[in-house]
Amino acid sequence: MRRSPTALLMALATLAVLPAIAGAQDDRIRLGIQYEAGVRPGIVVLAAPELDSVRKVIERDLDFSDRFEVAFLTEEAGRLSGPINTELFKGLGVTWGVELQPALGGVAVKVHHLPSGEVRREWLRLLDAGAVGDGRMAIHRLSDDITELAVAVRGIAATRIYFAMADAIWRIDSDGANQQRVSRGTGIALSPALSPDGQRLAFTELRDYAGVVVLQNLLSGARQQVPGTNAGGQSITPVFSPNGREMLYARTAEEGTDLYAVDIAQSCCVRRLTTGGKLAVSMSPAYSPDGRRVAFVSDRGGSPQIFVMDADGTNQRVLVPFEFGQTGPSQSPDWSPDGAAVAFHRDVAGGRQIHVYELTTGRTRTVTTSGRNEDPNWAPDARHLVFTSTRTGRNQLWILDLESGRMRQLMNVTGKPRLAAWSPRVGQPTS
Amino acid sequence: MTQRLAIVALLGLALVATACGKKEEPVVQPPPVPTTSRINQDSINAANARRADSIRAAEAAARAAAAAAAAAAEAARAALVKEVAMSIHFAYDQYAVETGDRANLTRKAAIMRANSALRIRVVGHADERGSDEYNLALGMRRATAAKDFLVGQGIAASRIDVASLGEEVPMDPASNEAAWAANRRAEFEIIAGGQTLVAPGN
Repeated sequence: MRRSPTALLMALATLAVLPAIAGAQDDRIRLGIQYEAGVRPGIVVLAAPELDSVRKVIERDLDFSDRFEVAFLTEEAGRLSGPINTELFKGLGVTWGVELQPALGGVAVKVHHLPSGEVRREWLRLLDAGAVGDGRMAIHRLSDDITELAVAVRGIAATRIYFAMADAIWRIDSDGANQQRVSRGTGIALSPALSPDGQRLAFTELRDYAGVVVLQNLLSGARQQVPGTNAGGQSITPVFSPNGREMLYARTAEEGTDLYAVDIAQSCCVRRLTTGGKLAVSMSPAYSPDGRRVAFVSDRGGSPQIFVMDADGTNQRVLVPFEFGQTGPSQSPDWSPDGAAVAFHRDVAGGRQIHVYELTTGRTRTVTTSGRNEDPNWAPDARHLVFTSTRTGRNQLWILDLESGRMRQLMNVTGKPRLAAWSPRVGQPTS
Repeated sequence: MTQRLAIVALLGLALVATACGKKEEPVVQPPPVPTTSRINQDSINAANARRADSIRAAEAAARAAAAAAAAAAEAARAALVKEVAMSIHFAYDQYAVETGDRANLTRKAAIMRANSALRIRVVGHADERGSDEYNLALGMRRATAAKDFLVGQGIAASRIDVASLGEEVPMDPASNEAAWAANRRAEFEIIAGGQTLVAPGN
């Protein structure tokens, strides 16, 4: 049974006075109702009092997944003093109920399918009840487990976003908490890229008028210079191949800006993939998820546009259609993890907007409308994008859900965060 | 006979003096009579002092002249360094050398021709409006375009390094047209042979 958000909100509001929810007396109960009615199942999270911090993190994770109508409850209303009142929430049209109880050695989690009255899954998890620091990642993984159980698609709560700010590379959890500096070195650090296993970080480091690509192990902190990237000029826009064995990057030097491939598994074998010539630009490579093709930026058509080639550098051609002299410069392509689309930014009428090119239809969608928006990067779920935007007046990182159009600001810092890279799902806490 | 009279007279006077209260007259010593050698030494010392003064004055004058010459040379060198270091500027998203900057680059080429040991680095920069990564490539193209102009004036390519800092090191951190115009630039830095410079035509 589905209810309209308004009806669900009104019904939930009455819960404030029902003794079944620990005598809650709060009229601030609210619901994530900004989404389309009937598309997302309703879900509610209730917890024993000592697990309220965990409950709030899960609530927010499920909301940020953009796959649920989350019934946000106040601390009092979300407090569980006994078994979950399944009949009550079922009657309100909520489909899923998550119950958190303290248990020996961790937290006992029950996921109720309210329409059927069944407990669909039970877990015993070691969770940090304080929900701080890297311990939050275990809670995010539980959120993703719940999402996968409920909608058969794994969530993206247990991910991080890496970005450049104040000459260094930083990371932040996908819910905007736990910001930490990652890069160690001096110089100006730019263009972070994550290895497919999430264990290594590559980035450009500008120092002493040279730019090299640094490979940093996120577990040990060990750094090494990628072969071929110290050959003069600046080596920029690194990206890992899907199998993690190769890296593509652009080297900008007197002879032009061209793409190169290097075998990072064996630290050898640098190959030049483009030969644009002096003053020409080929840069910003982005692998297709199968590793067979590479989208990239080239200005061989007059202004920078999105091209594609086979991974060995052959068969170079236009990917995203443009009109010579009419279409604004287009840059920073990123291929979606499902292989269906390429996101990029394009200058439009004095602004810069995020676009998504759908490979199956050949259609290009403009998905932002205000401010200067640039450098989109896909989440592992292939439906969310992180990008830089000035829509609030200064550079901040924003996240867009392409299905609902919902936009949220990842964080609010005084620095100038930019060049975001969304990590793969985090299996184990990293450094 | 005369001597005896004198002695008697003196004795008589002595007796009178004794009889009048025995007062003693002060003995007045005559001033020393300068000797010839002392007079000569003073003259010599005075002459030596005058000579030393004149030497010091001459040396000070020489030093001042040298300092003035060095200052003038340094000023001339600094003026040449300033000419070499003078930035050129570019239009938005462009890397072609502007007509107004050609005289600037031509003068740099002349200075480099006159100073064969002079080596420079050209660093290209961009304003904040372009994409961060694209701006690194744009800065490199600006540096390369400036270098190409100098090479076209006969300067060996090996004497000119190029680099780019994109939009990372703005001249003016503001976000307005004036700041953007100031930031779209190529900077020139002497990396060797700048200690002594001669002006073209010297």
